[in-house]
Amino acid sequence: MDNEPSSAPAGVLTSVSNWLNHGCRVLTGLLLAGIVLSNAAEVVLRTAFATSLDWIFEINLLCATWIYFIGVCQVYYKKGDISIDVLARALPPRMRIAWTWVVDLLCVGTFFVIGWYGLQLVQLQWPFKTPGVGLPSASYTAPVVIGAAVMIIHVCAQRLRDLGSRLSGS
Amino acid sequence: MISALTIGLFILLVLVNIPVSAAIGLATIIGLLAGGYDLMTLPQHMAASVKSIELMAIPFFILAAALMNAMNITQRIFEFATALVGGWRGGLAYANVIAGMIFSGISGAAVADAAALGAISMKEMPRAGYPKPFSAALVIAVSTLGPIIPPSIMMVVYAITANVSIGRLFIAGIGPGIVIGGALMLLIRAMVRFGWVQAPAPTPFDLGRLWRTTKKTFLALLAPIVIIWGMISGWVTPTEAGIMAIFYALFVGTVYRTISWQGLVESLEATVEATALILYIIAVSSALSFLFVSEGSAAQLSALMTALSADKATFLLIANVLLLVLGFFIETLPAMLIAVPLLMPTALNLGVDPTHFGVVVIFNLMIGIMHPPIGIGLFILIAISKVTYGKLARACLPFIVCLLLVLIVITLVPSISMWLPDLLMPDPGVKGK
Repeated sequence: MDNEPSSAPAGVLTSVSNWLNHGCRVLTGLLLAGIVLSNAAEVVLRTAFATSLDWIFEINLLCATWIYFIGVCQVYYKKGDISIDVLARALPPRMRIAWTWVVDLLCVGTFFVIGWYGLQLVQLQWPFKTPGVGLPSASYTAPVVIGAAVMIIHVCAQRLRDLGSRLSGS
Repeated sequence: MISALTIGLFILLVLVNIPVSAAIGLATIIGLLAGGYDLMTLPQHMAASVKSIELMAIPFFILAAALMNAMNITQRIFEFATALVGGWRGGLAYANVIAGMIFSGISGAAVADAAALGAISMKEMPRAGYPKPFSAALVIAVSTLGPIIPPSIMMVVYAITANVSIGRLFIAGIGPGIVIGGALMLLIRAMVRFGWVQAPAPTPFDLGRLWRTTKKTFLALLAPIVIIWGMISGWVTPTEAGIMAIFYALFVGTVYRTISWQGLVESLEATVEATALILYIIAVSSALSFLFVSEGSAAQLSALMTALSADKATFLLIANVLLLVLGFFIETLPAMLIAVPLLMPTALNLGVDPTHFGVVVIFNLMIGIMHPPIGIGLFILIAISKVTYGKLARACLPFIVCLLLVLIVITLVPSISMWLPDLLMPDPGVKGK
């Protein structure tokens, strides 16, 4: 279910956020199905034919890493991270709105630091390859950066959409 | 000092509504800055910490449980449990405990159990005449079994953090799981007998109904046995046991004709989201653990705990109090990721079996899902049952007391946890301690 943009300024970012979420859902779903099938194949080959797929270890870890760091974007798209709002609910309505901005700003700041320093790490790791299949080592760190960037877009889109609907409501 | 500041800041951030994973990340960033560390440490540890084949058991077990749920297996298990013990006064409450124990053998998370059982129990129990707050509190108490009876997501995480065998830890949960289930049933009996809870008249026991529901549920009831047998026999690793559980769930769904394309897709999506959140918390917590180790906090706390604890029992009781206090402020998974690296050195110094310690830590933190202020089980059941926070928190009190008593027993009697793993998967390295 896509989030509908409630005002023009929020429209572009909301569309980007929705498309990114579609992409993430498809990618992570396929990756999960892929690692389930490849692991099943590994168990069958080992048990029935006494052979093993030597590439499976590194590929599985790579797919899993992408599932974790891209999958968490789907959680943030739905505002699904665990949070305790007992104290925030005690605030007066106007303060609560202001506090939501502060919370989102802190989240964006945190993801920005993770993404920015992750990007520097990716640049450093780029020349190196994994010992087995020879994948770039940076391909394990890249989803940390991409995930952080996508989460920033989701959080900003939610905030702008919220602001747009408040302005159009008032 | 920096570690204490970071933990304090994290607790503060969580209490003021910052999402858990962002709160850990932000507290860690400030801790790293205060300690003069390079901030590249954070993404470096995040990416490195999840590169573990063992951690891949988490999405596999979550997917198996999601498939079972999508294929209506939970409803069948509940019907079977009702047919089994519905003839007793308070029968539906007992059925809840039994269904919870069986479902825990398929799922590995308290949240999954609370949501799956809550959806069914909160329809059936109030309709039969049980008070809503009692029904909701019972579901939360039963869901604490999720991470104790194998398979268990928390056990996978603990095993990797504490470097113990996942298989042994899984088996170690069976004894305590049975004890917890038994204690909850005794509490229900006492509450019904002394009139603390209004229980409707029981429906007469019907052997024919039990036979019919057993036939309908038989394959699902075998699921925990298949998973455990695969690991004990050494045929599959715990991660591959997760794969086996997925294909078994698909087999059961095919036999029962409850499998659907939509159910598969929804299960995949739900699994990705649940897994990603857990693993993201683990990833950001790994940088926090690095900070604790680099600052020497683990060693300092270990020295302090060793000085305070004359023996294993004293240490375990102090550790339990610390974990219960931590559970007041922090959600279970981050609490474990913070506490285990700090407590484990002392546990090992004093000769505490790390497998037994794992069961104690996980059960202790599970109690945290049902007590205020941040018990996640409370919030799930409030959403399902629409019972108010205050009423539900009060209804949880007898269950919390019961679970605390069981915690003391499980802590002080290690053989409840250890007899089965020592029998089925002996580990000479640990037994010698």
